Amino acid sequence: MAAPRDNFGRPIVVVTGMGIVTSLGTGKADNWTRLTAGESGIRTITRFPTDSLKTTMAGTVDFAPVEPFSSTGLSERLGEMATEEALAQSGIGSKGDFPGPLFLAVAPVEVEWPQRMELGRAVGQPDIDYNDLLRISGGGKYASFHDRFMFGSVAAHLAEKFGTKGSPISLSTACASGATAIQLGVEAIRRGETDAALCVATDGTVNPETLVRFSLLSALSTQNEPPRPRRSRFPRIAMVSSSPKAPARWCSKVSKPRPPAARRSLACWPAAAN
Amino acid sequence: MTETTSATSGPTDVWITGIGLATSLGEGLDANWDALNQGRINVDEKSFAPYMVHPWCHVSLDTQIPKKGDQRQMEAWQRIGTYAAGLALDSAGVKGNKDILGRMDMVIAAGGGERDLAVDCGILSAQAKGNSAPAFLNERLMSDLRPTLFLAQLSNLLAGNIAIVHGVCGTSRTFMGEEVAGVDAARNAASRIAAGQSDIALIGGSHNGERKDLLVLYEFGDFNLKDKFAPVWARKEHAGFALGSAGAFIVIESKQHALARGAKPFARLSNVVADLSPRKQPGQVTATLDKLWSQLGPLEGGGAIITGASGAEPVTSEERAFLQKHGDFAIRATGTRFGHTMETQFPLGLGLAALSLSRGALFPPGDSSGAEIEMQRSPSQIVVVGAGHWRGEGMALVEAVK
Repeated sequence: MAAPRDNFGRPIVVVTGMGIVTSLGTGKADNWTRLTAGESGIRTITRFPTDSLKTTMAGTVDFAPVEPFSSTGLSERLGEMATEEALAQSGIGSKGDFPGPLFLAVAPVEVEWPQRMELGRAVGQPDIDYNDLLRISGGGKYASFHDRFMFGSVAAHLAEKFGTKGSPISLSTACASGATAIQLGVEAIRRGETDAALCVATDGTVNPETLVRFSLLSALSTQNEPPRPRRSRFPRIAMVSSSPKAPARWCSKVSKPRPPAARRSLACWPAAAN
Repeated sequence: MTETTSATSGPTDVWITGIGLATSLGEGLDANWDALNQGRINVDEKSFAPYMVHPWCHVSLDTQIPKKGDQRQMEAWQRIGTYAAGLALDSAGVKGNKDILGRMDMVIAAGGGERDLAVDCGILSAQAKGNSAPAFLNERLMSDLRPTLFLAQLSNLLAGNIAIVHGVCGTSRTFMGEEVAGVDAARNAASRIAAGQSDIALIGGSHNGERKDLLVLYEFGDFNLKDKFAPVWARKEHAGFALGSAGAFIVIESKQHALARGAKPFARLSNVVADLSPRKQPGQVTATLDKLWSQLGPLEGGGAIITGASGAEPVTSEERAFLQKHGDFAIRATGTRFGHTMETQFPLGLGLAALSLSRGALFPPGDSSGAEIEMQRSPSQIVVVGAGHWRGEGMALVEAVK
């Protein structure tokens, strides 16, 4: 059966599964319940010492253990959790075999302070420069750092775990990254390259240096008390430029005709993708 | 969205109409072409010894980035990229053309920016001297980091700088993920144009190899070439890559769009394909490259291959096994001549392929081991190959426009 088409003759793209992990909780049901109850996920940061920081609250997810911890590792874990929920709802493909490509919005990656400090300790002398770090970095002892801090590492892991097809794309368009991931999926389906796409956005980068960098750009709210304004109609959270840990993901397919309600839900897609 | 207003509909040829190269061998097409033909290699074996890097050429930035304020707020990788992007726009004849630039799409392949090495080392030294108070790291970062450094570190801000300096203002996308990000940037932009979702796009990347923080990152995996320079194909017993510095951009557009504005093509970008080999068993990268080769489209024998092979192992040997099945093709490894420029290596290969096709000749071998043979005739097809040092494989078919 031919896939349904829109007024431009393009395949209609529908959302068949969604998953979400945020500072409010895991899953659509939990997030919806808390959101409609007026709860905020913004909380005082406990993940690391916040002494001397101007901003001490964020929408952190601290209920998803990652070992050894890194922001990139947490981003990967949150992406996994959200994807699992979306795939369960969609029922598409089978375990470890998603019939389409992965488009992943992910924060830029770099070596983080716990790992850099581990290296510094291993140098074992009071004055350290990068030549000292270079001298001890090879030989395989820190091979896991290379793999973890490759920009493509989160996408490679998700692609392998969920069995997406082809080369996974890791992208950043700053705060538009999630929309771009969806846009890439929609475009690929409309081109007829695929019947389904896995569009994921994940960000677990609340760490000291990220907070400091955004603070230095005066981009963060410093209204630290109270960090969680319950039931406020317009909570003055102002965390728009902090590092929200809000992976949401969509999976779309056109292989089956959808009920009218599902088709109508697409009306929001072009807006989301602009 | 641009796709609904595109002037084209249905599959269309994708032409490469602009090339911008600013590399360790020089800036501009003639300088790079001449250096390749003279067999010149610009490698610095002293400044980072025992490691070596291919340093960027010295240019007057003002010609492409006229405002000093813009130059100041970029770090080296962004200046390199913004400069090379400007060269590509000049080459395509669209520089300053607000109508076209205002709807030109952009797909950039980027890593991250330089760290402030002095800040890092200051903190590590203080830690080594026993300062481990909980607030210590926070205090040092708050007082030592330059506020603008973040703007130079974020991957997507190369695209931001290109938009600001050159006015490229269609959709903007930044792909990350080392070498294959450069493949996917080309793949995405070309497939959008071929499908009528876009008319014209700027694609490419930039890389500054003169960075100790990057040497540390790749040293974790023992990927750096040490002690002595050798061509890529002669590194098997002494594996590794020498980081390179380059900005490489191309302008691609639909044939109809190019014809309508009277633009001449360097070449046709006929296909771009990519995959993610599991790399768990020996031979899997070779198998992936075999598969990608079969997807490129009709290939004539006796053509040319420009590869981003890095010298890292085991992937270079795996790629060699694939290449040996195509012994009638003249192979050129850009890693020997330019170093390994990571996200930029594939766009660099595309630019060099288009340049070679437009000049009716392939540049000479860069290796005397027999891996790279002379090519006497004028190439009509060049396959660009990229296999990442750790993950990701891709290929493109670039053809002469007759």
